[in-house]
Amino acid sequence: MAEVSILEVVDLTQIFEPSGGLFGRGGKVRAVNGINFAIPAGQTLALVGESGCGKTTTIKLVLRLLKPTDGTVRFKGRDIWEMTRAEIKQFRQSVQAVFQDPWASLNPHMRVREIVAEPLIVVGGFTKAERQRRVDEVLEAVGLRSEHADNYPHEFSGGQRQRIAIATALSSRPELMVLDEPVSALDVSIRAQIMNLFKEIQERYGVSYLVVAHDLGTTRFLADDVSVMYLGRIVENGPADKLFRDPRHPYTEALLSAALKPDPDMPDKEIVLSGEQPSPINPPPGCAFHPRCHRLLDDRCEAITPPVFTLDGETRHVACFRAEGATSDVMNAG
Amino acid sequence: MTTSRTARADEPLLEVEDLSVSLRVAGEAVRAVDGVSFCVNRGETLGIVGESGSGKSMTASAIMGILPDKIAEIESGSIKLDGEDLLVLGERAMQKVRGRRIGMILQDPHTSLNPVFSSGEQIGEVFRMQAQAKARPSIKQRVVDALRDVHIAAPDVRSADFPHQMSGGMKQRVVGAIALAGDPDLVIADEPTTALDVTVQSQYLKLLKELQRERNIGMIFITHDFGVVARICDKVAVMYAGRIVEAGDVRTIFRTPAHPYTQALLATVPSVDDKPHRLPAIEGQPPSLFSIPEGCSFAPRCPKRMEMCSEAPPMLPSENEPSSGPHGAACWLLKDS
Amino acid sequence: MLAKLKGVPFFALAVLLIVVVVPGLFAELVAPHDPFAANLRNRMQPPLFLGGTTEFILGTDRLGRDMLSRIIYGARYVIVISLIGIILGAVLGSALGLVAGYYKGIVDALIMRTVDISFALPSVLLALAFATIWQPSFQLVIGVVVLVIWAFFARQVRAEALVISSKDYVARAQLVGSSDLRILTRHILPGVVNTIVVLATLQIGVVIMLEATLSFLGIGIPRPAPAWGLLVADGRQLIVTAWWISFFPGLAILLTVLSVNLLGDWLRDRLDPKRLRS
Repeated sequence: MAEVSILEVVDLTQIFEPSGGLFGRGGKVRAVNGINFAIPAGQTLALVGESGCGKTTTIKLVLRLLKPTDGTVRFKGRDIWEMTRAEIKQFRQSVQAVFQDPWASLNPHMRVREIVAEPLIVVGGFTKAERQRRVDEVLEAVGLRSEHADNYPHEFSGGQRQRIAIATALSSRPELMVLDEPVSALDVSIRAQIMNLFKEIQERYGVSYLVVAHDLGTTRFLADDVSVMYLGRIVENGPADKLFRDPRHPYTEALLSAALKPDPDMPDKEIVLSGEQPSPINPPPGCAFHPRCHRLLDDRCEAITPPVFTLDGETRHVACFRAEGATSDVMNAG
Repeated sequence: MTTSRTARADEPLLEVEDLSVSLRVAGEAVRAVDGVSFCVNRGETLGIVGESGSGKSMTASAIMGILPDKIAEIESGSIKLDGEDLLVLGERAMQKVRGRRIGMILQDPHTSLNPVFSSGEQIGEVFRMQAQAKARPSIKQRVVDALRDVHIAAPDVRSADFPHQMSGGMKQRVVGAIALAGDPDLVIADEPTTALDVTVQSQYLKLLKELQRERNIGMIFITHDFGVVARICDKVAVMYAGRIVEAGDVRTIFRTPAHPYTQALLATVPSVDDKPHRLPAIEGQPPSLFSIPEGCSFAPRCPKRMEMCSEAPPMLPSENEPSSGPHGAACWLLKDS
Repeated sequence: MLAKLKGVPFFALAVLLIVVVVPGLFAELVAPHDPFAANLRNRMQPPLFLGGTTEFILGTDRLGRDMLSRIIYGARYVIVISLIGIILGAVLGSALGLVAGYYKGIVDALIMRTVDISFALPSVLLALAFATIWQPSFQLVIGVVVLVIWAFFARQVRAEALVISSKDYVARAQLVGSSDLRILTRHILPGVVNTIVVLATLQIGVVIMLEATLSFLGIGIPRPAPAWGLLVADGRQLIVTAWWISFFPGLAILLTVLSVNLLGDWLRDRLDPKRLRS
């Protein structure tokens, strides 16, 4: 098991200090609070959480758009903030992203050919013919034809635009792709097509995915592992099969039940949480989830940040006192 | 079928018949809503399900009388609220209908509240319009009650809050309170939970359902999400390219969908229970309004397409109109059998 | 085809062509006289319709120079100053606006405060100050024009660059390691070109007025050049006895500015990206 993960995130923390404006009461915001995860090569990790949980900040940290306050991001074992210029250039080619909104992610003033070839143009060293071949290849891989390369983005529908965005990400032969809510802006009848496309691409190119989403339903199909975030922390992670079958954290449980099943007789079993995710400026004491928790255990929930318990022999971690009995050892008391 | 209709004692609250709306876009007239008929009873929720461009929001705007004047035109049809045709009403009369008889909840709570008024003032506005000047003192109390009804904790304190001090879910509750303040008979909710977090969505749906039951309101719930439909609707109309392709009772639609589009949509809803090798997907794209295929508009994407599908458009069975009947689908497959 | 021509301000185009473009480009061919040739015997001749002769259709000034020819040659200054001034002002202002909108932070703050200062300076007083330091000259007029108009470009372009640089496609370009220069020129600039064109057209009127004002005050184009503002100034003392000397150059200024503004409004309606999208 000494294999190096494609991406490894260790104790990653990002603290923002709002400038506070005129009446500066600049409270610190712990947008990301000591998170850990790793993605083995060729696998998919889903990072799931609602708005304000810190997933957007995590993406920025992973993509080296933001320097973390603390902790490290390693790409193939190398700290991305210790890279040389040449390594950074390589990193920019090897890690690509697909964003949520296909209407905002394509430059309306460029032809598809130039959009898709941009990573190659930027890195240089490709002849025009080589670029052309690559563009044709990736367009074909995402189910478009090479004739499409001469059109402008506005000539395509939302689903096709997302395919173009995927082709662009693919053109530099990435090893890791960050998919930020990749289907939530698409029509429902298109989503399954695009999800299948991601699967095909993974099988064909062996690329690893970090999927970031706000609901569990759409991640089930792609994810090998799942990490659930709440208010800057990962509250539960583990292999997707186990986590979906047997969620251990009450928040995971609620998220799972909120992934509404298309069955009119099911809804009564749903867990309806009260309230909303609190602001990260002023998180509740103890377990950040306790004010909304439907399974409060005892006074500790309100006073002590729950430690991370390890379940199932190293594969699962849960930050909830309820998991205490089921575990052998306590990893760390964050 | 006939028995169920005679068994219904009262007239439907809202009856939409053969509604067609055309839009003028870039000098071309396109049909956004094409011969849509349905009805909603008191205490009943109709879900209108469709993708972007299916005409679902345009239908709602037509009912509310808020179609964009310059580009949209109602070509034909009638919209009857308690037997009164809304399409012949003038703008002033329609304004009264909107405030008191039909309430509306829109998708984005951030833009549907006025940022310069407190939540209490915005709800009070509706009461004030109804009550004339004399009932002023009681308005404050009614605002607090309205906020309590939408489960806002400490409503007397909260009524002084401005929209920017509230979370998305809270704002959408206030929007709900405004929609209900006029004590409407009908509420139209256009994707009200799309902008909310998933765990907040469940709360909101539960609240809407409760209020609708309590007050015996008819509700039209517009969404693209079958999970939401299952949760809140009694009846469903599935729209595609401006037409209703299938309509019926919610259980029937989910258990035995008849139209290939409905079947495919239901099949593509990802499940959290199992992980297939590939998701069942619908090929192609929804048609552009400029080039709606002849015949059945779903035919080019349909896995069960036959020759006649591209020749003439199949109709919803007429005995199904105004579609409060149990179940019907506009598909040639069903005409043969 | 005809539908596409709907709304084109033909009147404005025709006026511009007749008053500015043709005279300016072909002054030697169009002008009946040498604009500098004084002949005191012909001084202050009235225009044709007030009993003048066909030789001097719009009359003559107090040195007997043909007004029509002077106005025709004057159109040259309008064209040259508008073109050079606006191109320089637009390039400078847009470049600073792009940089401010893309880099944000301290760069943005510096540039935008300079813009604020520029808006707060009274341009004519500025020119007066310059004119006392340096001799009035063509270059000085261009300098003042650039100083006055760059800020309009900087402010507007910065606002749009801010919006565009928050788009995902810019984020993606950064992700693949595109250089800032490439991002500015390939991703952001194309999105603001329409704005720059519209703004440039709308600024032509401002520039013409500014140049006329400066010349009128004697701190613009130096005499004896027949700049329109100078012509108006020359007729000032004679306004009672020979009003046409001021009137016709003034009319030329009015028609030109009006036409250019009409054209600018029409362009804005046509090119405004927000309208294009719907």
